[in-house]
Amino acid sequence: MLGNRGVALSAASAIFVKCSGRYWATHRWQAVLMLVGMALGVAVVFAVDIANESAKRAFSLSLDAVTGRATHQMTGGAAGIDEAVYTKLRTEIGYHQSAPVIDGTLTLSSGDQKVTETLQLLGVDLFAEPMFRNQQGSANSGTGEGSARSSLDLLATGAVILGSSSAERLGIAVGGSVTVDSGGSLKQLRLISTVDTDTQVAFDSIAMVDISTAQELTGFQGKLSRIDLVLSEEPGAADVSLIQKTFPDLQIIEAGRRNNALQQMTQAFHTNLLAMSLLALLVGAFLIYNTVTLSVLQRRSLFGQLRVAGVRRGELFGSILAETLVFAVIGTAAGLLLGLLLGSVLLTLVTRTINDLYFALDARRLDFSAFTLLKAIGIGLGSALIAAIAPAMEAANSAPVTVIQRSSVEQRASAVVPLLAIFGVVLLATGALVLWVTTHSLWAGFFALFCIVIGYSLLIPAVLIAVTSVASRISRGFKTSVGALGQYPLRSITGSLSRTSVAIAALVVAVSATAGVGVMIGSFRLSVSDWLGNTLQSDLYISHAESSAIPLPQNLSAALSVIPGVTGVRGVRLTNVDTDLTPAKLFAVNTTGDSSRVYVFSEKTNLPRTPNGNQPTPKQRWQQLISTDSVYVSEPFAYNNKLKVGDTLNITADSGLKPFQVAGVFADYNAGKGFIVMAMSNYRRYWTDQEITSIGLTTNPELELDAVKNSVRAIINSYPDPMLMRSNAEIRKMSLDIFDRTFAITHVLRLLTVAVAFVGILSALMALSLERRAEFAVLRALGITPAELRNLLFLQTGLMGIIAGLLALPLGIIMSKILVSVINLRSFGWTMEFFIPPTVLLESLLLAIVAALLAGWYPARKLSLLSPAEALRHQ
Amino acid sequence: MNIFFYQKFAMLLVAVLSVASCSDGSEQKVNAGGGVVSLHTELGGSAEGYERACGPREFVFPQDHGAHPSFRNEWWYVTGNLQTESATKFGFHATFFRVGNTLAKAAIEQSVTSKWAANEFYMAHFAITQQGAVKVGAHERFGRAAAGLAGAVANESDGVKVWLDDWQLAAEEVDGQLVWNLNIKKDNEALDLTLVADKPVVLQGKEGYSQKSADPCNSSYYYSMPRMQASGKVMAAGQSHDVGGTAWLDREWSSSALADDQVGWDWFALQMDDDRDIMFYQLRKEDGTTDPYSYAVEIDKDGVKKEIPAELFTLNIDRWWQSESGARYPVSGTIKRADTGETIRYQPLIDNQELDLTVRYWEGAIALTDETGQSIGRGYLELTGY
Repeated sequence: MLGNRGVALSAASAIFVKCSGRYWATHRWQAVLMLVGMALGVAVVFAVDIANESAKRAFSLSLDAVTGRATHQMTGGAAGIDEAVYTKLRTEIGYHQSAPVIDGTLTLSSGDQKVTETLQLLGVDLFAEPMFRNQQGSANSGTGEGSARSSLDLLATGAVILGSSSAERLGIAVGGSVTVDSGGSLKQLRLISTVDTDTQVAFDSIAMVDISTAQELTGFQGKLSRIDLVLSEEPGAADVSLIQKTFPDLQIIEAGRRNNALQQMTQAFHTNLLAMSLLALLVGAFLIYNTVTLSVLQRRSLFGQLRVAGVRRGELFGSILAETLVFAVIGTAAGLLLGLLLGSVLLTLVTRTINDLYFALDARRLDFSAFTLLKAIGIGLGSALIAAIAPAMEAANSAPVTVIQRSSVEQRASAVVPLLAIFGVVLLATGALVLWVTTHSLWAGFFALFCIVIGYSLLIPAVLIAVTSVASRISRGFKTSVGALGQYPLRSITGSLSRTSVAIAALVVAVSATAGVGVMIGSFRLSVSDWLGNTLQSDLYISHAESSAIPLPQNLSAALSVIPGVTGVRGVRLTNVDTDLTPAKLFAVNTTGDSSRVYVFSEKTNLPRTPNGNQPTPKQRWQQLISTDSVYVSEPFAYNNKLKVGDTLNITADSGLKPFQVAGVFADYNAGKGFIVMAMSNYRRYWTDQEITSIGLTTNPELELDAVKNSVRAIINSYPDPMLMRSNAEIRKMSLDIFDRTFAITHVLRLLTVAVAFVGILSALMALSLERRAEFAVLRALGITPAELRNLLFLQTGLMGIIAGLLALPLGIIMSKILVSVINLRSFGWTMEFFIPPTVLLESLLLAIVAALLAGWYPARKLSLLSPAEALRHQ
Repeated sequence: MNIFFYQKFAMLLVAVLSVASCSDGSEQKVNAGGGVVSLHTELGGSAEGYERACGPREFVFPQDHGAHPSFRNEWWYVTGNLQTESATKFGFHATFFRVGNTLAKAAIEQSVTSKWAANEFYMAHFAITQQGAVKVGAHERFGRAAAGLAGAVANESDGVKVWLDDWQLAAEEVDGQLVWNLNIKKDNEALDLTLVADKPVVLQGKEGYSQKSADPCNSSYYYSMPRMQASGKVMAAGQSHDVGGTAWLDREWSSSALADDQVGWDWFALQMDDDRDIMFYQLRKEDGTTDPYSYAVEIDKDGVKKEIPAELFTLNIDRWWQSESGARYPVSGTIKRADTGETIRYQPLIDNQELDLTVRYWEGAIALTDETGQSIGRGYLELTGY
């Protein structure tokens, strides 16, 4: 009995394999499209994840390398810490869980000056205790390439250790020397060892030197950037207070907090990528679902015949799933390879963005976790199998004869439409509810976005039916103008809902994603541009060429003020400060003249009211800033620290923590930790620092700016310090360039998403048209010319495109609204104006139509050339 | 917390400290001779750019208690046996090593203004052995000889100070006599001892010139303070004990002291109950034989030194002990003196006195008995190259 069954099973499988083998052999294009569809779907998801993860990993590793495993850091602000503090800490207090650090950036060039690399300079003392801990046991795992006697070479001033990849690019071997572009006295470094960057990824972007070398390079003589501490987490953590008591002028902050602040910077960037990856995932899943469903529906008659031939339900079901699995495995494998390729391209873009915006990061290594891999495989296999289950079950459960009939599927499909619509509404409501309830959680924001996109796409079949029925009613009135077949294109869309709706949904999601991201970027760019217009009040800006934090010569302001045509000179001190919240950049601004217009106050709520019940005007706030201990804080700083107007912010001044009242929260789109604006008079009162780091010049608008520029250039060139002069327009252009480059990757992803959807539409239309060969043959036999038929098909695909495009617009706008007001606010702390550029909407509509028409072109051409007699003979 | 960080610095540690010429990392840490830092290689390595000990010199104190930076290596080595009033025995060992770095030296001679520029570094070890404990508690620390982090100074006005971070060995003149203080703490182990010499400084070898192999320049300058009264506190396993006992201070500096075929040494510092102090070391060669440049000396109760040909000492090993690292040490044995006919049996206070540090060696307190098992003294034994 059992044996018989086994024989029967294998016989049935043999028949199935033979039949479907024959089928795929004659429908090669479909097999290829199905594989391409799966591969693309998997590839996009995998590629975005890889790019994101690699960049993130490289970033967090270089961050670790910079801050190490320290729990706390002693910092002394921009001026650094006196090196004697460290000696005292170790020899007198006996606190040896400490390590001195000098950090900065370093530009290295190869011998021929052709290659330059900007790396993070990390000056360390290898003998510092934390670095020596736990070395036992892991000592053998090291991969030091230096020869044995390279030994203590790092102690030698001028010695550097680089990542093997940097050394390779610079073309220097161990023992060779490399030229340094530094403000200090050292101009040459000797490479004493390289670190294998395959195993020590963070070294990709680090140049490690001894503290002494770092001091020589940076000119930071007698100073340290900070001291890392490993302080006990134990309850009796008297350590912190003991150290603090000994060095009351210095601040001890938790390393984690500082790390967080640094991490926030790129987190925001990755969040945008993550949003893209989720959308890509959705589109990818749609595409795979679509192709698999089609391939099964396509062969309904074949399966019917198999059932007639005696193949059991379970056997048929199992065979269909098995076959899908085989395709899915091949498609997924191809997708992973393609994703790897695509990922490296995307990674380059991501890295460039981080380099532009944040700091030197060299991530050339593709990195992905097992989770990412499993996720991509899961998307490939999972959505293929899920897609196959319904039609396979349907084919297996139907009576042999009905399986042969296509109409039964469509009947069933139509029956599901209301259910899908209800579920869609529930999802939309869930998304809306989540957005309404949560205020800060980014993940909740993503969840809501996901709910809304899926919910919306579930409504599509119902909307399709409604739209086509309305449209056909309308078009009935124009029967004469469209011809006898005027109803045909519309009706056949709903007539084959099971295929068209998934294809259209994929197109809708893809197009709405491009529209949504487009609107978001448009809004963002407009806000940034407005903000630049407000902020850049001066006509010319002068700062130190090496860093905007290096002070300018003392008498420069006076020298510049006498230039003919210069009507105003405004000095600014930019410095890093630590606060009781996250560290920030402090702008101490010259308050002569009314600069109240510079700051656009963005907060809408929680404003203290003036006695007469009004919100303070910008002028009142400016007055508060000048005359009291008040500051303005940037929006990201306020958002991340949950700071409101009227709150108190403690800033580490020279004499310790000093309270300041927040007088305003201003819009700011600078990447990074956030800004605090303070009146120069207050800054000079609480800090001994008299330096300024940048000067803004206002000029007489009636004079040629170039003439003033020449005079300014002559003056700044007379100083030994290298200085940079930039005009208002140049800064503006540069900022917007950086902005555009940041979002370059999103353009690529947008196109990629549409490409995926395009393949989906193409395969749906191909399947549909091929299946309807007989139908078209009848039409041809009835006297429709090939050209008319082609037009008819074009009209139909065009209609699908228009419908998809129109459906994509509301979703795109909703999506962009969520991206602007939820995702970006929650990750960056930026609020921006919501602006819908009409061109983006038009573009999206066109994109949908063009994609649909392009996808329809080949099937239409093929069908119109069909010989009606032959096609009918097949029936 | 951060594996990567450890790995990176472990790697650097190997690169930076790997003065042993191990091309294959897997060979490292096999024994004391092949540790991450090998004392043997360090002592036998290149002396280029450094002064060498090629003949006798004049010693001047307290200046010579300080550093001799023109030589590549130098150490301040204190060992001793202590006990509490309730007769619990402790052994202790504290060493400050000064190690010169040729390449850094060359670089620093260029115009470098950073105070952190260092052409030498210090390595300090300390260990406490408590009677009955399972193993010795050993600690180490490194520091650059720069920015005030580590160094050694000695002069008339300020006295002597050798330090690495807050670990220090210092001496001050009190009533015409140097009173030494050893102050070291790590986690829950600490030494806070006052040391006063019972006997004058003993210049080892030929007026302090100690030849270690046939090349007259493979030598060191070497003096000892063989018997110092020690008192103070020892903290072991978090418990502080008031202790008293005797200590031995060894001072040695050189630029290259061992020949290529010498693999290690066994060094005995014996403090006899009859107030004699005996030092005996034998240098072992690759082929297993004892080097003729081995050395023995006896200091009588009045501090008079008498050199004894080392071949008159015969060392018979009774028992080997194998550490977790796999190294086998001759921790117990008998020394027979042909000249006096004495038999000195030695037993470790505990077996596991291997210092599993960057440089791995066995350094332990030993109890001395005669043939009958009667206690005749105590001492310290150092075994390297096993």
